[in-house]
Amino acid sequence: MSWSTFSQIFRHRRKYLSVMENSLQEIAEYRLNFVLSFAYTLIPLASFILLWLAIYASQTSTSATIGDYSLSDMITYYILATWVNELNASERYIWRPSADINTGRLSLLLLRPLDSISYYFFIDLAATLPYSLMGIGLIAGFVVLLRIDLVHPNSFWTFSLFVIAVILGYLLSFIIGILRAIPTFWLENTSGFNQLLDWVIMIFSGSLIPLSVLPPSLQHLSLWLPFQYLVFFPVNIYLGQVPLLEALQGLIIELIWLIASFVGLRLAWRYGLRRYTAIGG
Amino acid sequence: MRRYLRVYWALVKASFTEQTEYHTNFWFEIIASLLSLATGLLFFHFVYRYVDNIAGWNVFEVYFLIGTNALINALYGMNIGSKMGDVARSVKEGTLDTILLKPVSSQFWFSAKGISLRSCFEILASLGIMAYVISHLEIHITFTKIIIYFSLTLCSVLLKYAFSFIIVTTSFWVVRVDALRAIFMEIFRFSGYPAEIFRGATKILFTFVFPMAIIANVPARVFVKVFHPQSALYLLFLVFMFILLSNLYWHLGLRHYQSAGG
Repeated sequence: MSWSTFSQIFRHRRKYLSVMENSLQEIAEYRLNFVLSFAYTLIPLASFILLWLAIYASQTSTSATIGDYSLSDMITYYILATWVNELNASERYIWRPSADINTGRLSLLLLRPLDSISYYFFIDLAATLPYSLMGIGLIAGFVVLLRIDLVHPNSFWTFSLFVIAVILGYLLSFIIGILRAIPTFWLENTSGFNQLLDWVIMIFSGSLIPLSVLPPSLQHLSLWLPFQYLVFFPVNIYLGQVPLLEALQGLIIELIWLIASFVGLRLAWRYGLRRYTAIGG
Repeated sequence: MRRYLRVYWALVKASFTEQTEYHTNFWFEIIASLLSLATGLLFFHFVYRYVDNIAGWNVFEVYFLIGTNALINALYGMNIGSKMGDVARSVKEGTLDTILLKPVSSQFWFSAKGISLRSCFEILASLGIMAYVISHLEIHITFTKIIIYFSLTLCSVLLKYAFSFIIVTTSFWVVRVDALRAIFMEIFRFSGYPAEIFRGATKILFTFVFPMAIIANVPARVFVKVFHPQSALYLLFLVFMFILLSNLYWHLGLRHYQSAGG
């Protein structure tokens, strides 16, 4: 099933390239919104940094660590988590397939000689480039301006594994993003459901607080969920908190999650489409 | 006045129907909004496992501040906050004309949009949080303190309202104000933190420019930490100033408005 999809994409690569081009043009068109969306993420980042500065400053010993993180570790954690979150697809494109299903625009997409999920994927893939570059630029500016001393990865291997984890995390975030649109085939209004899921992902991806600072029971639960791979896992590798062997092990488990959720997505999508055509008549 | 009450009642009824139209979604939204209230509590709950104070505040004092901030947000969202974005839309689409022709003040029309049911749940939850703190801390409660607390809380709600209204009024000049508004709304995130964490430049910024160090901190101090009467006076002054400014700015904006409807 998936193999035929890959070969189909390869055969129609020019079509998908023009999908990517359109996506970039769209960002260029709404460039003010694009820039402002970053300012929007820098405020929570600043608020967390301010808070952690106060938290570490309130400790009696100056070399205090919280859940194995020194102050610079913690600040680096939030800066990287913000960047990874910005890169991940789920935030950016969750509304698109949902809206297409709701408005019936999906019908237009189904008529095209393109695979719908791949179509969404290439729209998003094109967007990751400007988003990740802009993220790096803004965060670099932020770091220089506030004279934050960012922690550097301790070896080439750490950094390589971090890059791999970010890429796999991006793919996983995309699949989760599309999976979240599936209930729209059955329910008209899924905003409440999605807000709930947003909250769960925020906690268990490590966007709110590093997962190793959570109480043991929640930490244990987070190990059984795929969300840690979106933020916590890659950032923790970067910080050198994960031994190399453990990191490799984690990447393998992440790969299993990816394959399983991909197959699940394909099946659910096909099942949902059956429902969709039933409504369309 | 009676006309305003009648209009308001009609809006309340309409908003009630609108919100309960999708049952399942309604309950999901309620749960999501209570959970997002819990986010702040959880964050500090996790952190206080490692530390015993943050800028001199213990965990219960911080919970009380978060409860107060949540109460202010809920009262704000209860009726005024939910539909502030409509100003920008009606300027863009030209529907502002029909609103200007209505026999009520246009600022009232955009400010009163019925009752948000989720905010009712949030109010109950925030009162619950504060009751929980009071049962754990030895707080001396008097009738006067309660009156002062709720008056200052209402002042903070008005301040937040005036501040937001100034932001949306900007849509007369900048049509796409959504992103700008979202950014300014994010700044309110700082109001749930103890004012002591702001130092130097941030202290000046959040006391005098964006009064986030004032909004929840001043009312909360009626019960926790030390209450400074002069800070309450400063809050009153800010409310007065910002309300006045928002009204002047609104009228300036209306004068600038050129209808798209023709």
